[in-house]
Amino acid sequence: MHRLFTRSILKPHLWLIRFVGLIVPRRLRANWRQEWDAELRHREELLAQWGKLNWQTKLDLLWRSTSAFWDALWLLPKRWEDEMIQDLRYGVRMLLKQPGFSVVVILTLAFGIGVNTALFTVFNALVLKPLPLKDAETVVEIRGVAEAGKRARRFSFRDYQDYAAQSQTMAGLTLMSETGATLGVEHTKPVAGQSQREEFGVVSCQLVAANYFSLLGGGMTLGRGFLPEEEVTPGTHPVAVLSHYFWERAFASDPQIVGKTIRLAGQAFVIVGVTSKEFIGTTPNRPACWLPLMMREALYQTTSRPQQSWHTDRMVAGFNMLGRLKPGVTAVQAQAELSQMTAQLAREYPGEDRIGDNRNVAVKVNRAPGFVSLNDDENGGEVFLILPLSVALVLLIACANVTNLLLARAARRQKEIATRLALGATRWRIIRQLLTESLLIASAGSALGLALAWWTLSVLYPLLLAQFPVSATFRASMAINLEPDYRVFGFTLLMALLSGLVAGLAPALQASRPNLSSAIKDEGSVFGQHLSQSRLRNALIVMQLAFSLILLVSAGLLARNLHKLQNIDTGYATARLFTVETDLGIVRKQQTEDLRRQLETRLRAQPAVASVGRTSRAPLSGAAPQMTITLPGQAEGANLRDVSFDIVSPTFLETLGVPLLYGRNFTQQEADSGARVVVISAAAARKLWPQFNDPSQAIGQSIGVWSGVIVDAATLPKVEDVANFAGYPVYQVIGVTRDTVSGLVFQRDKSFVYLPFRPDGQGGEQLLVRTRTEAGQVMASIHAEVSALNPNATVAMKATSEWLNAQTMPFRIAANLAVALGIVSLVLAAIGLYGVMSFVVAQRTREIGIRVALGAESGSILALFLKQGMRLIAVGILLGLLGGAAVARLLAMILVNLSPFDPLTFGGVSLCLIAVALLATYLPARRATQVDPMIALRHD
Amino acid sequence: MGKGFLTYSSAVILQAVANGYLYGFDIIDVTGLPGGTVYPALRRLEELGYLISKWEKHTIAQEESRPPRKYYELTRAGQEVLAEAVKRYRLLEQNDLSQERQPKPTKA
Repeated sequence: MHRLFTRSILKPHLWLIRFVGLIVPRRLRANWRQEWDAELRHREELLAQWGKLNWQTKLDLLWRSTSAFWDALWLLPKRWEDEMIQDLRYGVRMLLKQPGFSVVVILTLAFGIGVNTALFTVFNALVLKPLPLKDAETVVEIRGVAEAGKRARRFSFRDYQDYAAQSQTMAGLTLMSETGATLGVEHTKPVAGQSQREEFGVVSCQLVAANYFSLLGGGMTLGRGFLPEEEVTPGTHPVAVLSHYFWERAFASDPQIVGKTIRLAGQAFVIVGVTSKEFIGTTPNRPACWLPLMMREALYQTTSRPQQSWHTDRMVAGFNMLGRLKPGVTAVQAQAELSQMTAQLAREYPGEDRIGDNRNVAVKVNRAPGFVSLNDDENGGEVFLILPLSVALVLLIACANVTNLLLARAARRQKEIATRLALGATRWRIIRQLLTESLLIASAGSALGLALAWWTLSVLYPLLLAQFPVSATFRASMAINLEPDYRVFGFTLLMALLSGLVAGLAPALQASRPNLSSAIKDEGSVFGQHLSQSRLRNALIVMQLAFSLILLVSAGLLARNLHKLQNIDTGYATARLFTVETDLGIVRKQQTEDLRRQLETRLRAQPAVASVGRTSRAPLSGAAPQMTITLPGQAEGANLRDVSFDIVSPTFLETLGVPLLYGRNFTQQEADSGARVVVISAAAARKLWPQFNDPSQAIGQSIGVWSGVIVDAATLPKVEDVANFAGYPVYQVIGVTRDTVSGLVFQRDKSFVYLPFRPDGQGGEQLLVRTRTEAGQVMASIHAEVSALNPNATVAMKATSEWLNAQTMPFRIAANLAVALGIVSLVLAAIGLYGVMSFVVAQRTREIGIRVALGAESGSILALFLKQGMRLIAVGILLGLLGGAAVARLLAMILVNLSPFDPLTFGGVSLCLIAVALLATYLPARRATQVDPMIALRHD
Repeated sequence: MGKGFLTYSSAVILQAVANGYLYGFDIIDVTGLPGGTVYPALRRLEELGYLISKWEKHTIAQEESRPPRKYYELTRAGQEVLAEAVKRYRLLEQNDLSQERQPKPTKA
């Protein structure tokens, strides 16, 4: 036998037989294997006798042994008589026998698996599913890899051209970048079903290389994609391809659209095509239109390096790159080749950008990429871990609950199990039977969970989305495909297996080793017997309570945080405030500026308008840009600090409604003459001069300011100087304002610098309007005002309160989700505790009967059980508070004005949990007091 | 599959067994049918009662220190359906299979 074994190690065909044999029904397996074994060995011996045993014939033998698989497959239906099927049939009968129990455990697991599946479905749609492109399997995404410690850069146009020209592994490469543009007034005619508001806005566009559609397989409903000659000279071919959905919505599916023009950012673009309905591009929010790369300047200019431009400067790397592999080429081969080219390019054209990032040294090639790549190493990513962790906790609580219920049931089935053991069943057989049952429960639960997830996502999600203050256009543009695919089914199956095993293993192990004689005599549970079993159950309850508290703490923190955010003191009133952006195109800068001034004058004349200011960005529209400030007199390069900034008109602070605390505001004359004066926020004063006792001391101080957007190209310091922190224009602080929240709502740093906006420079693109009455009326009139001034202009506007709403939306979603999960976990934990206490009471009925017969008061019986329940609750809460504190540390990043260890939250949710848990203990305990000793003692 | 009706490949396999090709591999070699067809067909023919399988005596296998082999043999019913099938599929007669092969002598 030993000799056989050592010989067979070198014979892969025999191993294959052994492996394939696993799917052959057990009772046929030995015979089956022997037949194949003998036959293969016989053949081998014959070959050896004929002197033909070489590696080729051995390979042939291996190939032949694969037919064993078909043979085994044919035997598979015989499994129905197998033990496994017996177990299954028995399991189904057991589930049907106790429908109440079955429904509870299946629903519990369905919920736990459902929330996990729902989350995974979204993750799948965004990250795992390949982009909805033709032959998506051959599409690759190429990402830069930086030197250690540096940030990876995207790709420049020149580098892209080199990659595309030289690569031997790629059938083609294409370049794209996402952007937005204001839409022309002539195209914002009301369309049926659209609200008045959503017509005025910025639409999302993509700048793409000419081969974008042909390479990615984007079909056209009308017209054509871009042509190679449209990618030669910048600014010469103003053409656009509309997306199908935008064509439907904004142009009512006009079949004559090709050849008409659309105005974007003040520039007229000729529509050359409309994509097919299936082609939605490469971003989760479908772009309204695609524009050729060479029209980039029509939308924005590269201002920080004015001497060179994006299509000549390799350091202007703002593009994403996708490619298609040549047939037969693997992503690994492509990665090797492109990485080598990247390293070569870095050697040939070395460089460093302003924040000191070098050129990429290699690339990473991902095959069949999804909408979102996970290797974005952005800061704060761990916050997003909380969601999967929370839903995993819900599943764990659900599993613990099912385990507890199964334990209780196994205890009731002790007699049955003991009888089976006594009749000769092996322990393994019993465990298998019980595990089959729990897996059956888990399978039913996961099937239901999948349905639940599907329902939630397809029915509830649009309803939820409708609650949010996003425009219908935006909602319609969200194109992620949430349909479950094999990955989702696989995930659910895995969840079923895992939860079935997790929930069923402990009860199966416990139940399969009963004390035979006492179990059969049905005296299993008198006076503290089966201590270990109750200990396990107690541990589970403690765990459930702890997990539930962790979820409740997160829910409490997020809910309190949301409340604080919604009542946040921004430092100004967000109601009756909105911004207008209007544009005639970058080439007509002066005309655009004139238009803005005319509009400003016209608006001021309206009686409903209180005040109009100019600013470089809408308040609360997201993170404010930052610039680096140095203090003259200090060592060069020392004490650089980043502060947020806005470029504003003298009327801006008045319009926003932010009072000056010290000093004065700049005047129109100062602004027009380009005087280097600034107004800063009190927080900025504290940040820049921590040694000052009072922000008023900042008045008269000088600061060195560097930002490409605020100085003329002529006076812009050279890149080398910037690297040495020299040549910063120096500004004088003339005023200090109250702090405001006008970037991200949860940003703690309120340091802000307001630079005067000069009409010849950039900034001041947005008109900030404060109205006396409801903003909606004035907003509705803007369209006509702009049209009257210049019908070619584009207009976008948005109420500041809408920005605030949009910013709090993620917090609202998070808080609602957390509260929902917290409540579910609380209910589950309460059910678990109730179940265990009921079971304990039922088990100890005889003991209670004896106690009562001996004269115990009902009060002391109640206290007995309450004490037991309270011990569990106390331990659970202690552990939960510790776990909650750990989660709170993760959450700290997104908490505004709220300590992660907020005592009100921790205390509140603990009290809530205690109250629910005590109720869950009290109900069974009260039942114990109602035990009639006569009945209890007679109980078999 | 009703009695008396055989697919061509089943008939070929029966014929091979009848002519003394007693193992799956021999049958595959001589008929040229793929293994994924031959094995399930052997099992089916056995279930239908046209073939029976016999395990080689343990003692023989032990002497040669290898697992005992399984031989297939035609039953009476098998011989009958084969005869019918041969009438139907004329080709079988001209097949190489019709050349009888002597079963290997076994050490009984």
